[in-house]
Amino acid sequence: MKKLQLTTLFLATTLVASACGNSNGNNETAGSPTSSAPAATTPASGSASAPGASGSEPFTLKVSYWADNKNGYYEEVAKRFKEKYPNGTVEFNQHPGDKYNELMNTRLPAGEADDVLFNMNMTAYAKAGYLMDLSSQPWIARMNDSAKTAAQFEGKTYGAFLEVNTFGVFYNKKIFEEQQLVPPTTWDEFLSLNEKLKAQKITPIVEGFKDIWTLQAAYIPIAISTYFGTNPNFERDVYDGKASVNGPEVTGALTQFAELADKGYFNKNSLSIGNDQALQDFIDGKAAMHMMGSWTPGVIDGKTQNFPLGFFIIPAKDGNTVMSAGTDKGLSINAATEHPEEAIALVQLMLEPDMLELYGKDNALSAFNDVNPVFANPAMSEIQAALQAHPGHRNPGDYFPPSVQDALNTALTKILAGGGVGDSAAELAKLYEKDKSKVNF
Amino acid sequence: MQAAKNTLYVLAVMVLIGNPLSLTLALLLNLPLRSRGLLRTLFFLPALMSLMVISISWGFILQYDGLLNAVLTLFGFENGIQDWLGTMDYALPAVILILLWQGTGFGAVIYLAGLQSVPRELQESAQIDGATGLQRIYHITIPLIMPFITINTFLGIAGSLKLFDVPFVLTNGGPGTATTTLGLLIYKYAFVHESYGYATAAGMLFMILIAVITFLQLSITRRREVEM
Repeated sequence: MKKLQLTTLFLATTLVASACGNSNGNNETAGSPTSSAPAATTPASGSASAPGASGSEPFTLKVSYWADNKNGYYEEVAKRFKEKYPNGTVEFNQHPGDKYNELMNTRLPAGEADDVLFNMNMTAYAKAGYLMDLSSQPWIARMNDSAKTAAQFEGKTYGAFLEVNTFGVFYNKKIFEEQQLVPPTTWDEFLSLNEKLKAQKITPIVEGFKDIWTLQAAYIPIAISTYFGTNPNFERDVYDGKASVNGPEVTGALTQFAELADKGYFNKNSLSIGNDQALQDFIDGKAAMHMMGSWTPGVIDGKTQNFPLGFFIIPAKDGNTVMSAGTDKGLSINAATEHPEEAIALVQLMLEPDMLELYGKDNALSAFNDVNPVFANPAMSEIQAALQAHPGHRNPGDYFPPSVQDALNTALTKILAGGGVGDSAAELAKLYEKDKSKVNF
Repeated sequence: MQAAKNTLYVLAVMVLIGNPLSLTLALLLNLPLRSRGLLRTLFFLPALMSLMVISISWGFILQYDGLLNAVLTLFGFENGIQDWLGTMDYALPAVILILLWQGTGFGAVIYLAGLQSVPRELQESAQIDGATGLQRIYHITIPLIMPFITINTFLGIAGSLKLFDVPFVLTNGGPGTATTTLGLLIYKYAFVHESYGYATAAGMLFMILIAVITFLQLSITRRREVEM
C-alpha cells in the first residue's frame, strides 16, 4: 500500500514537471523573432505617419519604466498621445529599480511584458527575439554614436537611449572648504583626503549598497581607469583571448575598491541602507562624498535647494584617467505587442526633441544630438567639463556576461563585509569562460 | 558550493535545533497554565504572517541603524553593535534565527495535537510505577508522537532545502555568498545570469535531491513509529 502511494506521488510530480516543460516550449515559439517581429514591422512603416489611421477600436498601450518621474514627462506624453489618438490610452507602469531587470527577465519569456519597455538589456533581449526591429525609424539618425552602437544587434537597431551617463564622485563643497580639501589629481591624493576626513570623524563616502546596482556606481569610477587606462581594448582582448578577466585590470580595480572598504572610508551601514537613504545622508551633510551617476544633481535638486554640490572623477592609479560614458534608459518595443503601429507612433512621440528636452531638464545629459536640456545645477556643467577633458569609454562590464557582473557584485559585497578580494577574479574568469556566448560584441 | 554548504547548514540547524525546540515548546504549552490559550496564540502568530512581511520587518530590526543595535547601545553594549546582515559571520545565523522564530510555533502546534492524543491512562500508570517526568517523556510520549515527529522533520527538511524568500528579501544572498541557498542560486542562474537551460537542469536535479532526502527520512522515521 505504502509503495503504491509513493509511486503515485512520484508519477504526479513527474507529470507536473513535464507539463511545465511543455508550456515553456510554447512560450519560446510565441516570442520567437522569426515568427512575429518582421510581421509586426511591415504594416507599421506605411502608416506610422498617418495619425488616426489605426481604426476606431479603443486600445491601451502599456509602458514599463523605473526612473523617477520628474518634470511631468510621462503625463505630457500621455496627453499628447491622446490628442493624436483619441481612442488610445497610454498607461505608464513604474517598477522599483532594484528588481527591474529581474522583472523584465521573467515577464518577457512569459509573454506578459508591456508594449513599450524601458530596459537596460537591449542587445540581450534583441538576441532572444523579444524586441521589435526599429531600424527604419527616423530618430536613429539623431542619436549620438555611442547610443547608436549600444542599440544595435547584428546590424539592426532595436531601440533608443534617452540618456548619456557617467559616474564619478559628488562632494559637499562646504565640508571640503571647512576641511581645506581640494579634488584629488592622483589616486594617493584621493586616499589621503579620505583619511583626513575620517580623522575628523566625518564619514568620507556614503553609499547605499543594499540596492546592489549601487555597487557599480562606486565600482565604475574606479574600474573605468583601471580596466581601460592602459588598454582601451581590454574587453575586446578578453573576448579574443589576448587578456584575461583574472588579470591586473580586474584584480587591480577590486584591490582599489577593497582599499576604500578596508580603511573604513564607506559609511558603516553601507550594506544595510539603500540609495535613497544614502543620498539623504549625503544631503544632510552626514558624509562628504557620494559616488554615483550623472543624474544625481537633478535628483538632489528635487529634494533640496542650493546644496553646495561639486563633482570630480577618481584619478587613475596607473595609466590614463578615463571617464565612463554609458548609455542609459533604453527604450524598445515588445515584439509581441498587439498594437505595433501605435507603439511605434508612441515611441516617436516620446523621442521628439521638445519632449526629450522636457525629460532631460535638470535631470540628465541627452543621448540625442539635437537635444540640449537646461540645467540649473552648476555641478552638471562640472560633469560636462570633465567629459570633455578626459577620454571616454563605455561602462566597464558592458561586454561581460551577466553572470560575471552578478559575481562581481557578490565579490564587492564580500569585500565590504570584510571578506577581502581573495580569489574573486579567478572565479569571475571561470564564469566568463562558461558564459562567453552571452557576450555580444 | 557555498550555496550547498549554506543549505545543509540551515537544514542541520532547523532539524537538530528547531525540531526539539518545537517539541519543548509544545510540552510547555501543554502544561496546565492559565495563560495557555493566549501563549499558544502568540507563539503560533508568526506562522500566519507572510515570509515577505517577516523578512522586511526583521530587516528593520537587524540593519545597522536598526532596533537591535539601538537597544544594545541603550544598555551600554556599543562594542557589540554590528551590521548583522552585512557581516560574513552573522548574516546566515541571523537568517536562521528568523526561520526558527517563524517556524517553531507552527511545529509546536503540530506536536501539541500529538501530545493531546497520548492517552492519559498510560501517563498515570507510569507515574504510579514510579517513572520520573523525563522518563515518561522519553518512554511514553516520544514513541507515541513519532508520527508527528515524522511530519515535523519532513516539513523541516523540505522547508530548509527549498529556502528562498527570507534570504532573497533580506540579503539577496549576500554579503558575498554568505546567505545564498540552492534555491536562490537556481533563481539567479535563470533570471540574473539568464542561463535558463542551466537553471532548468539544476532545478530538476534539485527536485530529485529533495525527493530522495525526504523519502529516506520518511522511511527511517516511519520505521520507529509504534501502533497503539
